[in-house]
Amino acid sequence: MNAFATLLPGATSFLPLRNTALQESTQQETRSMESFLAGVERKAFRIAQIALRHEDDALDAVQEAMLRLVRNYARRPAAEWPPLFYRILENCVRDAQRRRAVRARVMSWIPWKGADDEEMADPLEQAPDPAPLPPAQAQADETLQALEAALAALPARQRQAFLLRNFEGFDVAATAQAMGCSEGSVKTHYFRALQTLRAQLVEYWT
Amino acid sequence: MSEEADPREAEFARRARALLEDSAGSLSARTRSRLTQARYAALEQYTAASTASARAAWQRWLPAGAVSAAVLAALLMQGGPMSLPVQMQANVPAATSGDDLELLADRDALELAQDALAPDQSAPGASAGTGADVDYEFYAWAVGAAQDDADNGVGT
Repeated sequence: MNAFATLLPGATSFLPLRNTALQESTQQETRSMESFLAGVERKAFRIAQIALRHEDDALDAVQEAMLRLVRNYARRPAAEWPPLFYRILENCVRDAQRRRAVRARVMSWIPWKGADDEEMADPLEQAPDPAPLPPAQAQADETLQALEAALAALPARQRQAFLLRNFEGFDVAATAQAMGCSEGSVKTHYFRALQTLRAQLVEYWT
Repeated sequence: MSEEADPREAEFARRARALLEDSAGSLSARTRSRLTQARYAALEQYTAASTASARAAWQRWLPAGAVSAAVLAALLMQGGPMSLPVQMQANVPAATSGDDLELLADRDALELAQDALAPDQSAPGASAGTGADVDYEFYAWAVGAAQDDADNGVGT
């Protein structure tokens, strides 16, 4: 009986200890996931926006990618998150493009579909800014718009390779992992993207 | 970027990167707010899922743990190792662990102990008096010899 009496306090104190350890582990994982998402969200948004050419669709794609990463891969080592996240993001972008294509096809069958059904644009956003931009800023904006247009016109794999390598700063191996292809393919896609972009933006960057 | 062998390509890549990074750094407040909301939504889902899975794990293992604890408690309350069968208790040596260590350390003592535990079967009457395996032939011989001596007047 004495032995049982000494065993019982240990057994009862085990439960809260285990709960506390679990909570601490979960909090630590949450903090590192938050840090990762906070560090990656802006570039991810820009990558999605360049591909989709639509701000709200890009925000939806980023949010969906975050949710999928957290839901499916949060337990994986943090070093694996960046390529996984961008792979998921690319899938979300592709899903959005597919949905848009289907919607456009369906809408083309509706004869009474007119401009009235379009989402009303915010008039404040449409109003021109009265303060003129400095010339350097105006030129940078113009160059950025041209770059975005050229990137959007690239084949998806070339655009992805260029943005991951150049903008996100991935090395070839991580880019290959994110794109799900070989390192040789990444190099080829990146080279071709660079050639095309240079040719299209030659008048902006002489 | 080792792919940019041409310095003009490297310069182009550098400029493009700078432009894109500037644009990412100067997002509108609305966009930044929406991104923060998206991040919090994802993290909230993660926290909820982690807590639920931890709770589910506990609920899954708690009955098994309770049954194990009950069995252990029942064994301990019955008396534990002291409740060995009587025959096994008889075979438990009285020597303590300290005695065992001394025996192992001293080779002569170990041999003596082995001799004591396994007596020489060839010696007549060696196992006499141990109860179960009494050498009746020896006692019969001894009684017969004593009677013979008495009949012959030996020792008178």
